[in-house]
Amino acid sequence: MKLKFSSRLYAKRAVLDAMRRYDRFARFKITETPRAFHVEISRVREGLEDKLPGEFSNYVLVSTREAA
Amino acid sequence: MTGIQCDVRTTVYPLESIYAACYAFIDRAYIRLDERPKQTIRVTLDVKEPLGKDALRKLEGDFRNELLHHALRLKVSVSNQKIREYIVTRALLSAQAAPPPEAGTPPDELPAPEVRQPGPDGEPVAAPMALPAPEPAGEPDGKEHLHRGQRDEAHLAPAQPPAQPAPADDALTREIQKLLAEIDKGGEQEDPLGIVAPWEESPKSAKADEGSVSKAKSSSRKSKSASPQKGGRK
Repeated sequence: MKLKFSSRLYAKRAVLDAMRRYDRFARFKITETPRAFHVEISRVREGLEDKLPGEFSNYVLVSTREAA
Repeated sequence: MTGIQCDVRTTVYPLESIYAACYAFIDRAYIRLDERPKQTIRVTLDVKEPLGKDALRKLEGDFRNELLHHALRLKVSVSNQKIREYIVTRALLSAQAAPPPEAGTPPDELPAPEVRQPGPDGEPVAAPMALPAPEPAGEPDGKEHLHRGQRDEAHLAPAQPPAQPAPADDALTREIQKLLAEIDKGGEQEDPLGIVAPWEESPKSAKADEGSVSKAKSSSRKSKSASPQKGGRK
């Protein structure tokens, strides 16, 4: 699955930090465009498929707010 | 997974207040922010636990209220920033200017050391001067709080000038003066129509001041006649 984070609303550092934090639950790959960060999530640990993208997004949001 | 979507205009609600409102719902929903045209942000709240239609509507209302709350909070915070900084700076300055406690001062009720001098037989005996005569309760000079040793010192030592406050940090003082100047400047702009009359110009104060003004004039005349003119000596 893919998640898109607007670069105006989310901090890149927050996305990278979240990727590090959730590294043991899934595999993450980030690509960057001028307006957004695209995070591709694969090999999600069994049983976390529904929760992980949402929790990941929440983590990025909170980190962005703290970084601001 | 069900949820709600709210389009929020950043011209009405600052981005910081949107973040804060989202943060309040982080335990109930998975939140996503997406940029939309016309300075609008779409907030998507996907609830963690399934909710009914009414509960979802309530959630949206709560979210909008939270947005408003944080926008107002931010506005108040910005408008009070100067005075808040001034108060904190003033408090820091006061704390800095206070004299530090003496390092050698013993805590409460430490026994005074006994001074023993060698007697005629070589045995040390207590010095007679070390035991002052008992004093009546409630000393008139206000030294009840002093211990025995300190009281003796107070009697024997000459009066010392009060401790001078530590010199304040120059940068801090300059910052306070700058803030005060800004506050004064801001206060002057509170009467854009120019309808506020100074106290001295009001009719009541003019009547009340008649007596005091005449007294002041007579006293100023006296002082002028008593003091030599500045230019006269040149």
